[in-house]
Amino acid sequence: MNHDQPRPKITVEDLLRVKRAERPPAEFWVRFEQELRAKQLAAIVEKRPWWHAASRVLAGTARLHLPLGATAVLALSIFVVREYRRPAEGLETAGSTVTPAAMPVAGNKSIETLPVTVQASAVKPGGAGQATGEPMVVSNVRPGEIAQVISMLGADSPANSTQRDPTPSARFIAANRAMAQMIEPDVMDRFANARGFETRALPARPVESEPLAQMSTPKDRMSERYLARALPVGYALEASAARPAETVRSRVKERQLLDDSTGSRFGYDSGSFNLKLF
Amino acid sequence: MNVSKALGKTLIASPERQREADADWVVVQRVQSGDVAAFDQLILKYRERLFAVIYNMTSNREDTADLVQDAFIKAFQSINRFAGQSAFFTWLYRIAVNSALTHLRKGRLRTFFSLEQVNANDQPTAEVLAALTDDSSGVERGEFVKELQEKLNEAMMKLSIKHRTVVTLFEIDGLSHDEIADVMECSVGTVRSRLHYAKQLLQAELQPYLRK
Repeated sequence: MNHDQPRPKITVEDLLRVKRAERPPAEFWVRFEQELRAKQLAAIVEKRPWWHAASRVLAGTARLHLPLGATAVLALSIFVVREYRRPAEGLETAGSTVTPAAMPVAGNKSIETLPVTVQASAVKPGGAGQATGEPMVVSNVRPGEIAQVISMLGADSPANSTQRDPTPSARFIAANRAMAQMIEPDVMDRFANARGFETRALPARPVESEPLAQMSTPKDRMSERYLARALPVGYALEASAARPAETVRSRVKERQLLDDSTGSRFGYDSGSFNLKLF
Repeated sequence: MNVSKALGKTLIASPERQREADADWVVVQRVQSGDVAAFDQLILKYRERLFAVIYNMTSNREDTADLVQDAFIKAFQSINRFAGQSAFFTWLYRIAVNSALTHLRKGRLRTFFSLEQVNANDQPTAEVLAALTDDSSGVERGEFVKELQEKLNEAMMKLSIKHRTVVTLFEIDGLSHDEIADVMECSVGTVRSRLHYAKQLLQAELQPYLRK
């Protein structure tokens, strides 16, 4: 061995080349070939699961993934919106939303119609006028029929009140009532006999009176007590109900007389402000 | 003699790769058009290279044989989807490496190492062995080579799967950084980083065999 010559440098890369030179024997490749053929045939014969075919189809349509996905989302959105809007639209259709048109009314007056939706609370025949709470939707009512019904209802009908007081809300209510009268006369008769809509379901309320009329002064209360002792029971109650109202009305009239013609407590006269305290 | 310089020539990605890829594409097109037997050419061409890569990842001959066969079958089944956007060997390597990585992650690696014979006719390897055992007899040299193989296997198995794969593809199979990045589906920087780290670890493990 010659120690004078420099020994070659050996690095990690050189050592790894040794692994590169590792080779299996020739008979290994014969067996490898046979096994590979067997596996290849098995793979051809083997029935592949359906998702392999699906993935192949999807891979073939890779360019269309984005537009197809966008179309699917759009279609789904339209479907969902239509499904959710259908009940509302159906209600409007069944409720016969009358398109704006000039409706001839008795007296040759044309009513500027508003969209009219006729809904009446269904009343069970055997339910003694109790409402079920479910709106009864009436359909297939044409605009001309409303006017016809209004003219048929006569002087006492709401249609005549429409003529007298042609506000939009009054016309609307009149048209609705007329429509309901035409379609459900029994129900409307019960409405007519009843004092108000709520009276069907609620107990009868006392007759409304003005809040000021319901107030009683200490003086009234004192006199009421004296009268209650002196008079019979029925008279005392009527008097106590009527007297405070009369008292308040008289006081209000007095105040009105004190006010000027404009009805205002504030005024401006010759460079000074006026304020009426009483 | 600088062994590294001599060996390095074979590791650089060259126009030969491009010609090889073009030739492969022609064969692939034949297979796609129905000439199934043409696929055998690709098997014969790549089976040893693929075996070398997988073997150095798993260090087991039987596992390697199974994985390489599976890789060829998968490639055959999916060859209609190969559109030629990358080289065929890159695509085939990707299939094989992914199969091997899955296999290694499942922990089905056999505990023993099956050492393959070192081909003494391989000139660069013979030069390295001669340099390492310059004053040894034939029997001693054989023992030394076996010991070196074991040490190399042990050192490789101490690396993580990804680091081992990068070292195998670069140092043993001679793929370029770009090709490795393509096979492993990561960036070139990641490949370089892994390679640098893996070499440091191997250097520490194989210190007794290195000569400066």
